[in-house]
Amino acid sequence: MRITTGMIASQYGRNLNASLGQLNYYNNRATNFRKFNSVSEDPVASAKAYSLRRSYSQNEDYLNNLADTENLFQTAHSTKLNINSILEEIVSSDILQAVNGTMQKEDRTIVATKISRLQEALLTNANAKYGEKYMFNGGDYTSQPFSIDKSGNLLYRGINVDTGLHIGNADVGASATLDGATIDFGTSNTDLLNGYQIEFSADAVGTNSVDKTARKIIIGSGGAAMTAADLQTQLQALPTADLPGGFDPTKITVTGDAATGVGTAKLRDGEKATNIPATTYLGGANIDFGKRNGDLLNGYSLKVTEGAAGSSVDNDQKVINISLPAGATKLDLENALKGVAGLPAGVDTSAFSISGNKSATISFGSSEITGGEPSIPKGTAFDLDLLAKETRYVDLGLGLSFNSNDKLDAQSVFDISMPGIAMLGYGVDSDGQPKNVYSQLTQIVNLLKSDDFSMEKMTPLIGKIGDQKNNLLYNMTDTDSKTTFINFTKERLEDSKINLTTKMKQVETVEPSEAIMDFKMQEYAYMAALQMGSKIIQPTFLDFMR
Amino acid sequence: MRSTFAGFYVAKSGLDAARANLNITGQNMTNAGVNGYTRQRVDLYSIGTGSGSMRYAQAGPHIGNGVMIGGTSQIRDPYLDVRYRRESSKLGDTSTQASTLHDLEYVFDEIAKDGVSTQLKDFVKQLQNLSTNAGDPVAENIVKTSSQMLMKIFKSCASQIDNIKAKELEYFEGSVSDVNNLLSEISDINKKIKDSHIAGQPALELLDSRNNMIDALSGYLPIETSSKLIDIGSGTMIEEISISMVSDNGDRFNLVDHDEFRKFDIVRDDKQNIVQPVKLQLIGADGKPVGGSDKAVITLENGLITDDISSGALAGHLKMLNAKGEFDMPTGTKQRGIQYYENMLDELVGKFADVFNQANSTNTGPNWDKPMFEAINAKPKIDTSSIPGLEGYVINVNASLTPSDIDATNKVITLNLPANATNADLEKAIEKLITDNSGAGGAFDGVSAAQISGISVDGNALDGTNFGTNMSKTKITASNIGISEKWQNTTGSYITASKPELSTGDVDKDKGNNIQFMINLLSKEYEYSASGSNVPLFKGSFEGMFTNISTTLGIESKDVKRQDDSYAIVLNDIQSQRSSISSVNIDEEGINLIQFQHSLTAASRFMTTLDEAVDTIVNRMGVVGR
Repeated sequence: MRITTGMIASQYGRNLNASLGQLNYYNNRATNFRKFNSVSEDPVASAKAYSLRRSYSQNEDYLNNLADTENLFQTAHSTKLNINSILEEIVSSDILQAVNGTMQKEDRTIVATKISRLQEALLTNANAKYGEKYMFNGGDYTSQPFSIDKSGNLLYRGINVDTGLHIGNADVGASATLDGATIDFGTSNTDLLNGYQIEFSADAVGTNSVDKTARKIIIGSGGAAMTAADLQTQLQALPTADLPGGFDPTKITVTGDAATGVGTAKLRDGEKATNIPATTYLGGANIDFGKRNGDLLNGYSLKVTEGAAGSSVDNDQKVINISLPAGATKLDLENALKGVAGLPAGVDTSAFSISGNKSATISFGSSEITGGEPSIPKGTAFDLDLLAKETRYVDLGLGLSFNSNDKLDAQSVFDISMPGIAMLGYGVDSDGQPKNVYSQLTQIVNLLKSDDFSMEKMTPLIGKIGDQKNNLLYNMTDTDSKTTFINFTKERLEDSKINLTTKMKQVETVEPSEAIMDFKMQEYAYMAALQMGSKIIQPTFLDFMR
Repeated sequence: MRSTFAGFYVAKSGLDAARANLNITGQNMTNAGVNGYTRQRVDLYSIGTGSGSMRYAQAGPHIGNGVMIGGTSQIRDPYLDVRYRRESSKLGDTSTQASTLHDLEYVFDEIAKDGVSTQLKDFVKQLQNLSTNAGDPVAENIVKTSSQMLMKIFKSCASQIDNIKAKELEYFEGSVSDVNNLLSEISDINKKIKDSHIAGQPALELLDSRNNMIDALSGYLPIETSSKLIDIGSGTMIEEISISMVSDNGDRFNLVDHDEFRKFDIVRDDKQNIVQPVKLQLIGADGKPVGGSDKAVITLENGLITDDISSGALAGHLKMLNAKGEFDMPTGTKQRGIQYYENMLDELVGKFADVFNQANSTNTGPNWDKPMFEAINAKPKIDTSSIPGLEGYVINVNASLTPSDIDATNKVITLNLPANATNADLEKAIEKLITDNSGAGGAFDGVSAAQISGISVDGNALDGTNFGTNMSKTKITASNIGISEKWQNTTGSYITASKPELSTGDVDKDKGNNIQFMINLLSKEYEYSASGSNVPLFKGSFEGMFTNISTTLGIESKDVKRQDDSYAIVLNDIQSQRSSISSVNIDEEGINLIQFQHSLTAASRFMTTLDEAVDTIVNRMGVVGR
């Protein structure tokens, strides 16, 4: 082949450039010690690296969860030890042992007071927190598990631990001012008469009637003034059957006097006071859906569009559609809302209200109704068994999975809930006696304080406490075995972390010595190429011509 | 019998030849560094003894009459030119693709930087944290922030892809105008060369520069040159060349026919926007699209030549701009362009949004009551979910007074509204249009009045400036995804922590089961298939899908780079062979210099010798014994 000067020059240039490229590559490798810097350099290793990073990050998540869980169980364990030693002190040591049939009431009261103190200590421990979380509230960390009602019963999330009955929410009765008389319909009657109208008629005193359809209560005044006492008597005598179910007329109180015995008033403001209403903000209006409607409308969205006035409800898609003409005010919206038909059962539209200047116009749009708290009627019974078995799972890398019904597989996760009632006992035994250790102590205290104290009555109670103490110990071993499992899992996760790190290193990084040596070799090659260059290019035949 | 002085002319021809050779050596040496210069030589012929005669034989020895300079010519192998140009178009194709894929790698390559997969990991981490702290507003807010970051990264990926697309289009426009310039210059130079040839000049330098331009053209397109000889009278034959583009199946499209040329034009709509997918038209010398039985061998529909360009930089650009890989299947090729990666990302984002919206909502879709993610745009949203047939339609809204229109074939609805139209007008317009087409034979035959009135328009209000294309609501893509308005505006708890058990409807005693469910969603495997063609794409988790896009791109990029390297080596090899024949070797020219100097000396010496011989004959003869 004929070789020309240009060929040599351009080939040399190409080769030198390739060599410089290699030098750059090895330089990068020797500074960051990575086998590759982009996927295209080594797609197969990159795919491996991506998947290892995924596993590593998952493993880190598990380790984080585990560390949290481990601390939680340690704290829980020491709290349970405290509770156990309190019980120990009451049962085994001198307190109950000191009680005998011949003790005077004063001495018994001293013992009772001592037990009460220890009861309080027990409660404090049962309400203990780990960080911001209440440990012994089952699946719910945010609220305090145990409290005491007015009669000294122990409540778990507002539920009586012996009977399973919910205390319900504190109520506010409806009230009205009628012709100078202020009528309070009683706190226990809450909102039963909300929206009713009360009016005087010219009929004779004692001619009273209730119209449930028209929501009216008519009191005969004979057109004359009535004293508060008279009005109260008349109201309290209203026949229960005519009134809404559950309404107790005897709770009605009246203050002030009806000056003329003529007039009408609307009943309002009856609420379950501790409930929180659902609310939303739309088109400049703050809409309050009423405490008594609780969370019935949570998750619905309110859609206000421009058009002929009208409304509809789609309970499947949870949408309340309101259509209003242009320029509609807050008041129009409030009235339209009150007129909406087809809402879920139990929703009382009269409780809907909009605050602020009601003549202000609204703009159209859509927003979601949120924030309503469920209202629990007084005396609702809860299944304590279910509460005691409440779970809260954490993913510790046991293969989190869901079955075909999207139900969490309990074997694939770790249960970290510690329902307080499972620890302290709940419900009643076959004798109808409470199984809860706090309630049992309360019984003992009451017995000690009572006049007809006898050892016959006392002994079975002490025996029952002993049983419950064993239950607590059993509960503690459960925690212990879980702690063991956590330690075992921790070892496993840490092992796999080391394993993953090693693998990642193998796939992604080069040995420094190798990288540096490669770089040095390439540097040498490049220098050689440079030196060769000046020798190849320079001389031609012309240099040797005469 | 040869005349006495004939020898002088032989010597003179030798001197002329030597001088010509010396001069051409000088020309070669001075042009040694000129790009594309082909070394030249003097064509020399030995002169015979003159004409023979039929009548009688010539006596005596027959000695040649010296040397004749026939002309100058180039030393070039046309076969190597053909090979060079064929390979050059392949290299043009791969190097264009390699450069675009390299740009795309910046978007999807997360080997050495943080991006989507890191943020997905963070999202899981925050959900895990929430699962042990359910109900804690702080923990939930962190999840929200983490999702927002994720949305930002998705969007930034989408906008980077958009930039690459825009840049690619710009390069493509540049390439097309380069090609057009080359075609015009080649036809121009063809004319000059022909004129020179008629005038009897070899025009070697013009030939070099034409070869250079054809070489450059071959990088853009797969071309083939052919030549024919034209009789310009008195039996003189002059060469005319033509250049054609050759498609994959061997069809030839004439680009340059001696001094006439056709040019390429990117198809644009009436607003001068480039039509998508990008199309090229071949425009004839008359300024009209080439069609019918024009000089192009193959009949072209309206001059559209896009699909016939099989290699070269233009083909590389077109592949990157138009090809969607599996999304074109089963009719298209498997070639993956920018849009393939864009669509893959959109599939991932769409699935992600869908799965999480469903997980967080308490109703049955598709209008989720508690969506976490939704498409954010500043236009009104036309919700057409009440009519299944409307799915897949592109709804364009224009400010125009012409009637609205449905194009059922291309699935395009054009709504024309006055400039001051409101959302209500928009709703009325589309409802009327569907109603008008709901009769027998209409595009929406059998759609009920209730379904039609189910169409709703919400979101941002129409204000005369935000008219535009594709206002249908449903499709969530990487470029428009964001945290849903509902979530954005909720200050309290939004993430559904627990859900009733699906089988029984009872509220589960597991608290926070839905968050575990969400965590599970992130490691669950999904099947992805290309929307439109339903060709299966991938099965894996969200992160797996992203990794899949990243590695697919990596493999593709590596593959193209390897091809590019090997084509470059082949091309360099051919170039070396060409240089071996055509380029100047200084050594050789140096030797020639000596050789021709010697030739000159020799011819001069011959002249001197003859001179002495004649001198002897003229002055010394017949003086014997004087």
